[in-house]
Amino acid sequence: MMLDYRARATTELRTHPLDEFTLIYDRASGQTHLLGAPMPELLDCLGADWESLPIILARLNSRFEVGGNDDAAQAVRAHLAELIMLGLAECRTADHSDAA
Amino acid sequence: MQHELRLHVGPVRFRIGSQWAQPLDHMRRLYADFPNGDDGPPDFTVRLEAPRLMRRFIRPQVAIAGDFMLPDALPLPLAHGLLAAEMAMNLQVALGWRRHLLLHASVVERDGRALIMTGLSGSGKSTLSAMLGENGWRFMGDEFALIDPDSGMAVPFPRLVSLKNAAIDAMQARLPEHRFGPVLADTPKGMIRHLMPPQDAVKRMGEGALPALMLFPRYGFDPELRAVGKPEAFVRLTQASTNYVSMGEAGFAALSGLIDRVPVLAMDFNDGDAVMAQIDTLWRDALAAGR
Repeated sequence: MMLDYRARATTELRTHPLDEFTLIYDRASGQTHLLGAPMPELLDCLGADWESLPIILARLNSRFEVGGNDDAAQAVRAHLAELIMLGLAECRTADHSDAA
Repeated sequence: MQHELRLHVGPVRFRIGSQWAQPLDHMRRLYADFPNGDDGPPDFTVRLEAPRLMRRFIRPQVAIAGDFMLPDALPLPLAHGLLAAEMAMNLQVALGWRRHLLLHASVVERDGRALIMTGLSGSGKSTLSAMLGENGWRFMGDEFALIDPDSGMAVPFPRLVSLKNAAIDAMQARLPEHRFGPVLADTPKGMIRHLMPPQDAVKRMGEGALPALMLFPRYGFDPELRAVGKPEAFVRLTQASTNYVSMGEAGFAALSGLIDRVPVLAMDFNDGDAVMAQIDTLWRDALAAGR
């Protein structure tokens, strides 16, 4: 099953860099997250619009050398799942009917 | 209640009620320099009362009650009534205060800037603040650092210093007897004796100070100094705060701002006099770096 991803609205999150880490305060839950690489970078690559994994990977590759193979995709997918679990990103079943 | 005392400490007004005169008599003497807090409604009410009617008269016991209570708190013997009152006041502030970010820490001030010392019970933070408060620093509190979310200032909360075990002898050797409360033996934390804050600390308890240095002291270890990274400091201070979560975004802003502005050092020590000299040096360095 293909998924699309997007970040939670920036108005709901307050970020604060802390040396090599990033603090994120979630206004809705009141939780504070302390994220280390590559999570803040990945979150930064997610936009407000729903995007597919290949597009997110391409965006990541334009900024970092992530690679385009299956291992890279799998790793990014796992990190996206963690961001979703933390409540910092969202996913939905991909709808590519417009593209077809 | 039968006996009542109003007390204004820093920004907090307390009303303390008691079924016995004794704990409040001690407090009246030890808090004699403080305003009585009747210039406005109390922020917190504390009640010292017997857990059961018989315990008011026979082998009397003091249970802590008030606006905020811990259901499992055990009563103390009446001889420890002063300790019960102090614990009850701490409890109200720890659980109920929302105007400042609270850190379990001691605070002293010099050169118009604040030094915050935080650590677990037994780390030496109370004793250090008491010693510094008698040696050219202004004592601002030994239990809570109150950080103003808007200005980032540390706000004084100069309560009695709770000296424990060996720290009692160390301070008794330096200060006159009238500055001390009764000896409280066999408390859950060993022997405790309360120390009145210096008069200057009370007189200036409306004057805040911007923090310039934070220490994580640890008594009983070979002397060692280590710079603490911002992420580690942030995590440790969220653990040292009693109201970080309930303060919400204001707490997040106050703590992240504090970490950004103030260097943090972990300091192991085993000698009171040596560490005083070391703190003087660290302080000069911190002020020079901040200029």
